[in-house]
Amino acid sequence: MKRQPAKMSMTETQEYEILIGLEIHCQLTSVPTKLFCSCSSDYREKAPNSVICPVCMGLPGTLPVLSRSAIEKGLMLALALECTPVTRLIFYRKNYFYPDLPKNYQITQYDKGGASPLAYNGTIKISDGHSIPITRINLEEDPGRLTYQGSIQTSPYALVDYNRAGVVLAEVVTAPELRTPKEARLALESVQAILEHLGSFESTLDGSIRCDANISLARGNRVEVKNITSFKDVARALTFEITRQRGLLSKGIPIKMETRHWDEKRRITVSLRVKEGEAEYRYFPDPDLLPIEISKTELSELKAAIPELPESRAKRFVLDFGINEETAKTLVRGKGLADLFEESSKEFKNYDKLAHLLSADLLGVLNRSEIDLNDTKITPKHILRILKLEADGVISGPAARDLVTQLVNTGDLPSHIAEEKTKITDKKLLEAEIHKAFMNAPQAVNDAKTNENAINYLLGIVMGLTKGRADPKETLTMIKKMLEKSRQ
Amino acid sequence: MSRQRKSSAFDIASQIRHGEVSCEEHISEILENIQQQEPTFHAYIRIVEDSLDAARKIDQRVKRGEKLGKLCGLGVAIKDNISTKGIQTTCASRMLLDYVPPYDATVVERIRKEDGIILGKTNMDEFGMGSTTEFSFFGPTKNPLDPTLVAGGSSGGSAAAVSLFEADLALGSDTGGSVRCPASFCSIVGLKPTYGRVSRYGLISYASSLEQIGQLGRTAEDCALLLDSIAGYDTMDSTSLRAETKDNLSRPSNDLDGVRIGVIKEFMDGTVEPVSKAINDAIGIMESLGATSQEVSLPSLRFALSSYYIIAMSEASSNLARYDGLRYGHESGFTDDDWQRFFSKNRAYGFGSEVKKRLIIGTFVLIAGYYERFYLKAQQARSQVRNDFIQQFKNFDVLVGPTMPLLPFRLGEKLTDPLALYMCDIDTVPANLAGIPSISVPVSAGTPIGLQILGPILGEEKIISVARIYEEATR
Amino acid sequence: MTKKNVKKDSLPNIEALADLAKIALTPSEMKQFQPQIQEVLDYFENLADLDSGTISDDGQSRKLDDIRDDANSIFESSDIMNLAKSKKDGFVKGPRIA
Repeated sequence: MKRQPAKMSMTETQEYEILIGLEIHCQLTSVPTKLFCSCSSDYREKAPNSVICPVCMGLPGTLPVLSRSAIEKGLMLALALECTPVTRLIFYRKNYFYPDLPKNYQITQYDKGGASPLAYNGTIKISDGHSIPITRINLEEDPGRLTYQGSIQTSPYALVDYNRAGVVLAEVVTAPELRTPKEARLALESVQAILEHLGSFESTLDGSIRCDANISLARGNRVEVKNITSFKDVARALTFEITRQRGLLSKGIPIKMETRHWDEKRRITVSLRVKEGEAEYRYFPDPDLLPIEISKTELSELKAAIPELPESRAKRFVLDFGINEETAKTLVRGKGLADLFEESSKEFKNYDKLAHLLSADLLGVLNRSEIDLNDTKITPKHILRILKLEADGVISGPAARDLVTQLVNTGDLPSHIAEEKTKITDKKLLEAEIHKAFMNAPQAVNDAKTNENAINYLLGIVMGLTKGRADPKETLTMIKKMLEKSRQ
Repeated sequence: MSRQRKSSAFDIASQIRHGEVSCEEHISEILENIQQQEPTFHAYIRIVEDSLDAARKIDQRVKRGEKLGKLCGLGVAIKDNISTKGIQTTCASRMLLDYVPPYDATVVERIRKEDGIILGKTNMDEFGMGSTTEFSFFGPTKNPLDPTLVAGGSSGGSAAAVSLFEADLALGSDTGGSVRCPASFCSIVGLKPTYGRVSRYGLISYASSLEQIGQLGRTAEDCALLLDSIAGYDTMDSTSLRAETKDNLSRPSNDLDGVRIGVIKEFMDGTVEPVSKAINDAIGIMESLGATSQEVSLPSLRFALSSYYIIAMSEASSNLARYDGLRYGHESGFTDDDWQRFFSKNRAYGFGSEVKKRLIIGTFVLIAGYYERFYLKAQQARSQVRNDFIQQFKNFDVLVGPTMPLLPFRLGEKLTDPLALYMCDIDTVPANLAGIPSISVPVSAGTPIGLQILGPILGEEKIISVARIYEEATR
Repeated sequence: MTKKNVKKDSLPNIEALADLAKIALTPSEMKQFQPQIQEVLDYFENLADLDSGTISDDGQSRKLDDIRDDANSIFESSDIMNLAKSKKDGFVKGPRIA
């Protein structure tokens, strides 16, 4: 069933239907070599042009030799996305000149004129409940990387690093049935979660998932936006592009069919070159590579090797932990969050509480600060500590949420509550420390009579003075006792 | 004229191996030939400097009683589109004038491993695109039989070197006849193996699906020796066959008893009289040796030339796209040009006219819309050619015909008429389309007419043995 | 024969093709090439007489098992970088993009 495209509500009276299609490029980072040579796929933070060989540099006379695990990982991704894999794999050449392309053609796959991609017709299920049809999945080579002096438009030269050239990419092409920039982001997220669960992919690696997007308004010309290299930028680039096109349309200016470049520094799209017509890519089967036969046995072996995927993991969370379905779905949107939940659940048995802290509090903070969980150093130990403090009544719910915020922003908990230290057992000593705190904060002592938060504030001071060695529960009881005493 | 002129490479290797001839002496003699004849014939683009050192080392190893490889001290010439580590490899193109490969082609590694001595890099049509060796940036190679005539091409330098005793053996590449054509014109033997028999790794691509590295020698046995030294599966070439390497050197019987020969009608039609007469005579000789012959027709062959050129040019337009001047090869200076202009200028300067024309045609026939009309049709024709051969090899052991439909012509004669030049390949391209092995042997010693013997996939043993029996009978 | 029915609009525009093939042709080259290329393309039209069939499989293919295992190897990259004419800080220095 075709979904109804969204009409974006606008300040202008006119509404334009929006259609977005994505070409999601995922590096299959667990493949140790490049797609067609034995160079390491681990090119990041290496000196420029140090992870290259005659084959990936397209030196005269060299020939491509396909990596087996690239096919295996690609097929597993296809199966996980409910695609129909092919039984005979053929690579095509897409011919176009560009300085980042060592051979001036890209070895990829194709879907027309008897050609076939790695797999057809799958589905990306996104967390808002929609299913986005996948047209096909291709395996292809990543090009090299261009850098500029300043911006692409003004740089007098381009610097080329070919370390990335030839790295394995799986290209997931969706039908143009996404309706909003947010859906585009969710689709990326969903594909990433599946890749992570397959173990094919390290999402912490910069630029390991990228996409090109095509956008059309009111069924007009399609504009392709290239160079979207992060999750955050998908929604940004699409929103920018929709606004730009809407502006043009409202002035009666037609939209040109073109390719635009997402300038992530300036956060705008710029026209780069007139899109080379599909006809001019001169696709033809790569004569240096023979077709690869994939047997039914091999496909079923690969299918059997697919580990638990986000969808079934969410179902299991509902069954095993009794959390609600919505929460479970949120938890599996990233493997990192789901792992955090499952690890922490071994020691903290109030699953609802745990799930809520992660899916609502932690995820909320992450989203607001636009930080990816994978980029933080948050471990189950941190989460368990916060939950324990809250459960023990040492800190309140709001304080626990504050700690989550701190955890995201600083990557750790404040030192005095980070872990349990040798407790102060000497009551007199503790009394002395509390006394010191009272002297330091007379206003708080005064407020504490009417305001519970002030008591927490005093507790904080004591924890600070004792470098966290005071037992929070005991200290709290004692503070209350001493306050009462002073009131009398 | 020395001992060399009486001996085959096979015999020379055996003499060196047994210490009967010194390798140093042998290689010196070759170098002398080179020095004397090169100004006239121009078979080589580059002579390597250390071949005498290599020869002395072979002699020392012979003295120490070490076991030496199949090519034991033979001088091998390498076509300049086969990558040699540390030795310039230009494809006779201005584009690659200063290109020094950082790796060896698999065949070059294997030649070294079998103790062959690499003498130098031979002249050719630029990137293999030509049938006369006139389209070389370095100027043409002349025919050893008559320097006013073309040597054939594109491996004209390799064929001339072997014919002139400037090498014992030579490697060429055969995309549409580029080994067999010059072998025929220079009156030596040229072999194009089954597609996939010899690794293409390091052979600078012209048309990947058609070409094979071929062997040139003064006898069929010599070609077999070189083939056996380099053939076999290579992990670096996805199209290389996992076929067992047969020993093509095993002595054949002395006659052609029971050998069924099909004479390809389409090859005989359209062949000039002296050539067709010579081929008919050759068939008569084979019959007198016990073979039976019958004329056969392969109707698809009338599409072979179009099919071949469309596929070759298409693949070339893509294979040669990599020469943009950025990573290697000619660069016309770094100016304020944008990348498109930069690429276009470098390529315009680096490539010769014939290459430019073929790249433009190849670009055209791949554009969607024309792709269906040209490229796909060409593939359909190719598939019919392949099937026609498969059918015929059910009834015949080998198929024969002329290698070239004409005699070597004068230098410059066909330079301005590309189509006329393409027509010269009409009898050689079918083997490349079908991927089958084919060998060209002189109808008689010293005559620039080649008898072409074609065999089924992996039928090298058969065609080589027929060629050897014929050769021995006509010597 | 179809050969005679080649429509005028199918004649290749040499200039556009040269641009696609990234070869800057001089006007005289274009003038010289045009009839030669046309003659060759006219010859290719004999394929119109071909009984269209499907392309038969030549049986050449590889099993997944035959494909290389992934073992890393290292190539001395400076041997390749030495071939590039313009370099800057280890990068290949290329022309401007915009």
